[in-house]
Amino acid sequence: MFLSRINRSKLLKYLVTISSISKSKHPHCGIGSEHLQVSNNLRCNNFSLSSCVLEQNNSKAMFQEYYTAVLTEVHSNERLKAVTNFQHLSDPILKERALKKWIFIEAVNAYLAKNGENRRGYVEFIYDALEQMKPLEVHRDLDCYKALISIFPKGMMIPQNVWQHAFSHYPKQQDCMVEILEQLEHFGVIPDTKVQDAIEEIFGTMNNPMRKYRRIYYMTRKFQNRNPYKLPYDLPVDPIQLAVLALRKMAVDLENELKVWKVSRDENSKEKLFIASAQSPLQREMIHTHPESKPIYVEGGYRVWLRDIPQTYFVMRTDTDPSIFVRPTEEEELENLFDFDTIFDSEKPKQLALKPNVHQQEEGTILGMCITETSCKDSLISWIRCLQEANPRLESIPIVFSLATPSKQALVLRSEGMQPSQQSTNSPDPS
Amino acid sequence: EMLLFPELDKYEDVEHLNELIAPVERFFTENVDSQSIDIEGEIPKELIRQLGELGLFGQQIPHEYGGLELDATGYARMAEVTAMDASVAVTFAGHQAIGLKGILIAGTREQKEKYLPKLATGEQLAAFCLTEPSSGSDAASIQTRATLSEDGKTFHLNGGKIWITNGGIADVFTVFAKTEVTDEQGNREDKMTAFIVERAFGGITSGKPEDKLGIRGSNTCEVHFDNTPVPIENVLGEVGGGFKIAMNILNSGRFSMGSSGAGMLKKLIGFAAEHAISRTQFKEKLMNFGLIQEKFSTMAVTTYAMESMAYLTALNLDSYVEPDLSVEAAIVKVFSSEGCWNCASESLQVLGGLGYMKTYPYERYLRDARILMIFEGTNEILRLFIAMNCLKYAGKELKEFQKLLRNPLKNPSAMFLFMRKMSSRKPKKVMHLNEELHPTLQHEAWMLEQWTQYLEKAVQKLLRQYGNSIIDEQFHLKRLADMAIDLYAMTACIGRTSRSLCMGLKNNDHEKTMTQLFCKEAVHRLENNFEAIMSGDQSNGDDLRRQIAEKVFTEHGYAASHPLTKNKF
Repeated sequence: MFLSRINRSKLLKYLVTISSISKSKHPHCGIGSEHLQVSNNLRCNNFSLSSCVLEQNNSKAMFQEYYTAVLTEVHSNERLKAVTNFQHLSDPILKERALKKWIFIEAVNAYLAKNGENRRGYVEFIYDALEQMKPLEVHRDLDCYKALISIFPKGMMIPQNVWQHAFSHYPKQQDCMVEILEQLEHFGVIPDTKVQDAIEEIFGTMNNPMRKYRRIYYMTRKFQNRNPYKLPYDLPVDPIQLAVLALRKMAVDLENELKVWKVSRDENSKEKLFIASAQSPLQREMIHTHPESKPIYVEGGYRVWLRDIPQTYFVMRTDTDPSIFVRPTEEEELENLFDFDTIFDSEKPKQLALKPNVHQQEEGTILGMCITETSCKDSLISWIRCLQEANPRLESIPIVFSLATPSKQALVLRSEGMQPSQQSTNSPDPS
Repeated sequence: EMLLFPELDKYEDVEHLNELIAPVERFFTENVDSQSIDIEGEIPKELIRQLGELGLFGQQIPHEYGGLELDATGYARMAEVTAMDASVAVTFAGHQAIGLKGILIAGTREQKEKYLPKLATGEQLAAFCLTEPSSGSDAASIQTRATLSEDGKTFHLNGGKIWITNGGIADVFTVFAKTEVTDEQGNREDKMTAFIVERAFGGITSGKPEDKLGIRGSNTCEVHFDNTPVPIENVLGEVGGGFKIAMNILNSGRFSMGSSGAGMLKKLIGFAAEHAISRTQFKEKLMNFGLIQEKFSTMAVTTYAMESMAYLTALNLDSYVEPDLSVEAAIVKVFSSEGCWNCASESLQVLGGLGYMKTYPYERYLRDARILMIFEGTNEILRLFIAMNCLKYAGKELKEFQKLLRNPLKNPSAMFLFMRKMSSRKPKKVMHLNEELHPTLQHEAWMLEQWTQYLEKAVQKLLRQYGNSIIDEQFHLKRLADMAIDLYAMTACIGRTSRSLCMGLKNNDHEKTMTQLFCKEAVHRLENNFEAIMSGDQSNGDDLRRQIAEKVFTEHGYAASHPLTKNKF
């Protein structure tokens, strides 16, 4: 503020360099995930300039080359095809994932085999591989991380004297290892002691990667069960199971009942689409006593996330009578103080009448939830029809649909190669 | 004079009662085979006929209708004897304590003349039909409906009741159903009404008798009403007034559980004592071991307290016109049911393995005693009842103080006086309880007074803290009820002992020691409850209890990980 322009810019530059140095020395303290997101593009955490220059070469394509090479091998070679058939897995998606993991690890092995002891630029290779893990969907697989760790040469980077211990010995390599561990932690993978052994063989016992590892190992193991809505490590592939997981997470009522119906799209098609619906006996009772004059709204297109998979759910809602939220004012309370009207005195004691139950909120009373395979209006109409079995009143109560689905849904195009999955632009589609 | 134990006026009254009891006692010891009743699961019809001849089906029915017209005291005394066989006792209770009590309390002259004579002799049995599958403790939520016919002369009953004592063998039912009532403003409401329904009206089906843990001889079954026509003359009380009648009926029969429990326990203590005297282990008689002595003293003291409370309530019921002793009767019921269960268990324990075998009656008494905590109002509901009624009374007195406390600056002088009053923490001797009391019981009387004042403090604290929502704080209501139960029991014991000492009855020094022990133990319990109330939810563990219960419900069961689990990673 009191600084002149020139001084301010110098100060800023100074601050930037300080922060970059501090980041490079302790890149893994605290900030974690956002740091990774930012630094993926910046690569500011390298100590020496030479590495920055290298990045502008095509070294980025290194891992991708190996990967495509192995991929074409697999497609052409009959023997490899038989090996990668994975007959014990029935679901094609699971087979694909297993194939990708196999190719990933084979690509790493191919790199090691090709380059032997003189593995120049393995740090760039690893960075590239790390970037490719998410698109290839192997980012949660500990074996792949272990494969990457095995690329580091063993024994040569262990500090031998006091000075090497004092200053980060082989800082670029240590940073690379820390990046691996950071990505591992970001995606919620819990490492095991073999990783620790590997780090010890590579860098010794007192170094940044070891510190990072030990913190990950301690913290993630301590907190792995803290999530009350814990999802299984590998999310199921079957959309019905995903829908059930999501509804179970969202349902508040302890007596909630989940039902899955399979409905055919129209009379002709044989294909059956699923509708997963959650409703509790309390909600059924509320529908039973619902007046026919008030409409029930089916509102929708809300999104709930199961780790990184979105589910679209719809809610059947009605307006709540605001009088149940009215608390007696202080004067009223003082007047009726200790005027107990208990269950032993009269049939309908005043105190018991008006407590709102768990579904009655000020915005509305929730009467049911569902997730359908195609989140379109027809599926919701089928849902209502399925519900009429247990809630016959639904036939006579007017139902209003007000949907805003997040459009043509995130269609994940599965293509061979390295292109990340495409998502169509979200345009709200009120229908 | 509060501690003056009431009594029957003359010696002749007591003699008369004893003469009434003696043949019944003889009959029960000789002719009633409890073991076979328990095994068969049925009371033989012949036995019912004989019991009817003794007049036991009309214990509280007036002479003009053929009953014994026993007052509350006589009824309690008779209950001691009939408790020898629990199934028979429950059949009686289902028949007269609740089944026909409605007609006695709320019936018109015509209804009484029509039904009571046959019910008194045992020719017809009565049953009380209130419980349904969806409403046990919540009596107001019954769904049986009674619709008035178009000509307005008959009600048609539709619905089903479960767990009705004597349901399969009764001919006269007191049924509660919802009727549509229009009040003065013209609003239509569903209110409960009581009906006297005869099996002969038709449309009544009873299911098969339920197989129960205890009181297996008593007939318990479902009763279904299918468009049963009930003439409008058979409405008990008013249309829409059924709730009050149900409450009155249930409140009036409770006190006898104290004396029936005491009767049963006296027998059990006798059997167990015989065993302890004769059995030798480690070259010593069992009765010389401290642990056994502790058991027997607990049993004796509990029985003494039960008896005293039951007769205090019964005699007070007889001494006053239109008494309202519903809270006291509830206290008797809670204490007696839990006391019976614990003491039956202890007496079985004295015998060890022998007590567990079916050859001895202990296990039967234990099984029969379990139902005491459940029927005639579950103990949990009765604790709430005791606490809420006492709070209503206390609240009236404290309403002014509460208003003061909420706005202290409005009336500073009254506030100042109140603070001075509250600052004296220690109780003071103001009640002069020892005036009409035997001098050896001064200390007990002072303990009673002290703890009554502490109870007052606890009540004030709770009302101050929670205001109207105290009725939802069941953890605290339970503690208040327990304190009240202990205080009432102490009153009864002290009163009875004082009377006994003054009159020079046999073994009155034994009574004194029992009262002293009871008061000591009661004060211990009172201390715990008082501390728990005053120290608040964080200190007394209530917060933790709520959290634990919530977790158990969220996990639909036991929530902790197994001790052997390891994480995969």
